[in-house]
Amino acid sequence: MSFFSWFRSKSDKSEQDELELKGSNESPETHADPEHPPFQSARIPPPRLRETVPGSRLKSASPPDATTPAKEGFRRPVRATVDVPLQALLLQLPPEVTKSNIDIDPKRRVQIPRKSLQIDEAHQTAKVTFATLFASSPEIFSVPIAPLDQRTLEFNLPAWERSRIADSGEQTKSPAGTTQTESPALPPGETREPASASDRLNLLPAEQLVGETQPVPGPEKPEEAPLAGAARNGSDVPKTLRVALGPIIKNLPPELQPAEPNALANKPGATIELPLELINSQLATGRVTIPFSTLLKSLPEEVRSQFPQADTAAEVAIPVKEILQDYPQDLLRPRADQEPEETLPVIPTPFTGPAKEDTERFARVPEEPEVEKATTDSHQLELIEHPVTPSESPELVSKEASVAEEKRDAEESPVAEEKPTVERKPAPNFSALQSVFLTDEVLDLNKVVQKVGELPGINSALFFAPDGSLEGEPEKLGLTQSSVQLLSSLTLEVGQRVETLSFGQIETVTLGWKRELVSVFTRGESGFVVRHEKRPFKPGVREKICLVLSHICS
Amino acid sequence: MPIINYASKEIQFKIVYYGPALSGKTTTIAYIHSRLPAAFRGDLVSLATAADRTLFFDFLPVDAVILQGFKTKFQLYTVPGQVVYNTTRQLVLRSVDGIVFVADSHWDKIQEDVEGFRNLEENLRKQHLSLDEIPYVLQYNKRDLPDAAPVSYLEFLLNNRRRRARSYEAIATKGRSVFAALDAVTQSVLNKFIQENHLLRPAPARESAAAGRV
Repeated sequence: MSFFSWFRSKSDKSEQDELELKGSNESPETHADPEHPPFQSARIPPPRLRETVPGSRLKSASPPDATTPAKEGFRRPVRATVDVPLQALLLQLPPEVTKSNIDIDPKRRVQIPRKSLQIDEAHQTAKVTFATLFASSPEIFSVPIAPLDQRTLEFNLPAWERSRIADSGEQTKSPAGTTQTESPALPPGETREPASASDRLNLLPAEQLVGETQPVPGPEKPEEAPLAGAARNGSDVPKTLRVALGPIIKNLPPELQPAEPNALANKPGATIELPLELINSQLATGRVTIPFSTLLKSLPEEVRSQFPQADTAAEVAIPVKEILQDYPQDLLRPRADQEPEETLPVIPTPFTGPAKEDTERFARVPEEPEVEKATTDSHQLELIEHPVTPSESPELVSKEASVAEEKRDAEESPVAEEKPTVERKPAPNFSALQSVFLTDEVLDLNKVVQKVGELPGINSALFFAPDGSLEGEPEKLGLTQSSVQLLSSLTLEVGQRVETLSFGQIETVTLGWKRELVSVFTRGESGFVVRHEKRPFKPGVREKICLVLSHICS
Repeated sequence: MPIINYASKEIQFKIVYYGPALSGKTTTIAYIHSRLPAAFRGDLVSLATAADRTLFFDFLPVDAVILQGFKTKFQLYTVPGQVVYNTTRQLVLRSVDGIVFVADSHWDKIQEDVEGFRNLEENLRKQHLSLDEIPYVLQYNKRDLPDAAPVSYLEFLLNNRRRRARSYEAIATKGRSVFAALDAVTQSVLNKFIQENHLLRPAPARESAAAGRV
């Protein structure tokens, strides 16, 4: 019978929620019939007291009657979702995001995952973000809501939840912690929490809860605000963060750069203070931006005048690397309710052996500087069962003495052009190039150039070295050696001229003729000249060539 | 969901290497392919056009894990990381049993890592799956870069779900921690399969042959 009572009370609560909602929708003056006041229509019965459900009386109600037998042992389980009437939520959404003239069935409810809610048990309310609501009921929105949109709306907990709270006696204090993360409101476009906020709850810190009980297995655990910046004690956390100004200026778009960017960027000790709250809300996205106006406000007056006063709403990227230089590391802690890594029984798999071998191998090999990393690669080649040809081994075993010997040999040998990179820098990383081209074939520079020429959309390719030597067939590109040198020097010149721009080091220069496109990829004084179809590079091809070049010039 | 082939007495598990473009997924799988005995692995195949870098190979070792008389076979996939290939990623994620998320440790790629992880969550959600159900590990690749982001920040970005996942600092070009990550996700996949199907823990092939059955 207890189950029947519970079921009946559950259905009563659903009706009660609907009645409450209906009552909130209707104003007294719209109800013309005095004989049928609200909540007493023919179809909807009047609300009934939940006296049949044990322990359901609210704290504000009168004490339980002594004659009423105490029904112990029944406690409402904590549901994984919270059932909320959709119309109640719709009424609280701002009109600019909701569809007009939308008709929602009063009985329609939406189930919101509990972990996506900020539940205030003291006031028996909860908050849900627009993004979470959009995920479950997109049809009520007139505009798409971004996953990072963390605007919230507050609603009363449904009857089941209120009863559960009353049953378990979970009366908590006013959640000061939640307000800390709620204000101030951010302008549209700015993100407050990362997309995974739906996986995180902004509930009370543990020590602020009083009288918490755990009536059922798997209760809600109060957790700290998971965002960086929401510390236990607000007074310990600084309000601002000092960030170096140079990298910020270097990353500015050209139209926002000051008159003399280099002078300002290279000024030693130049820093600005940025509000920590603004940074915290974006740190979990991997990119932090602030409005240009905020940057200007952070600058001293004499410096501010050097910046153009245009487009103050433009977003300026703050390098995360610079932010983390002085960022309080204790704010990068994981969420408080995170469950540790699962401990599983060990099952020997076919990959356990190679994993152990690799672990032992890396434990044996000490950290080596860049120049000697090719030696490590050569050892790995042997371990990976790739045969090392005699022609390759002198290049790969690039200890300093052998490199010097090869330099002498290269100068004397007529085939020095076969080892163009030995003179000026370490040998190409052919093992990495094998991975890039997904081949077990033993590679040399000529084969690498051939493979670059066989990439989708590429007609032919040529590699030029700092000493002017070429690898490949210039005739296929319709070029001579002197014209290749012209292209390479032109690219270098362009790179030097545009260095003042904040786009970083130039990688590619593409020249277009009526029917041809020739692109020059450079890295230092080496590079590729490729002739390709008269359309943009196919996806991944340009990146692949850059990657190949980086491995050659590594 | 693993595929059980009753005719060949095989259980096929699908492991997908996911991550943003140029994070090292291809390098990782190529290294794995090169290290495994050639007799028990298939060719490394590109499933689509040359520009669409979806790679696949299957691996059935002689000392396969035996589950109730069935040999376990592993199919390793990578997905193209470029944004334009989201449909391909969704297709490759179908029936996935385990995921290795390969993140690029370079500072400039952090945002792509976060977006790639969100993309993974979204693509799984479209298939009514979630990372709470699918075993996955995090492989922080390119740890040899001088400009690599600290692991603490990567953990904050990518390993801050309710259930903490195992993470590995890897250098795919050298093979560091590549097999460790794969071994971890494989063990999770097998344990999950055993729990869901109420199987006994597996015995090596030789023991099972001697015993008659597992």
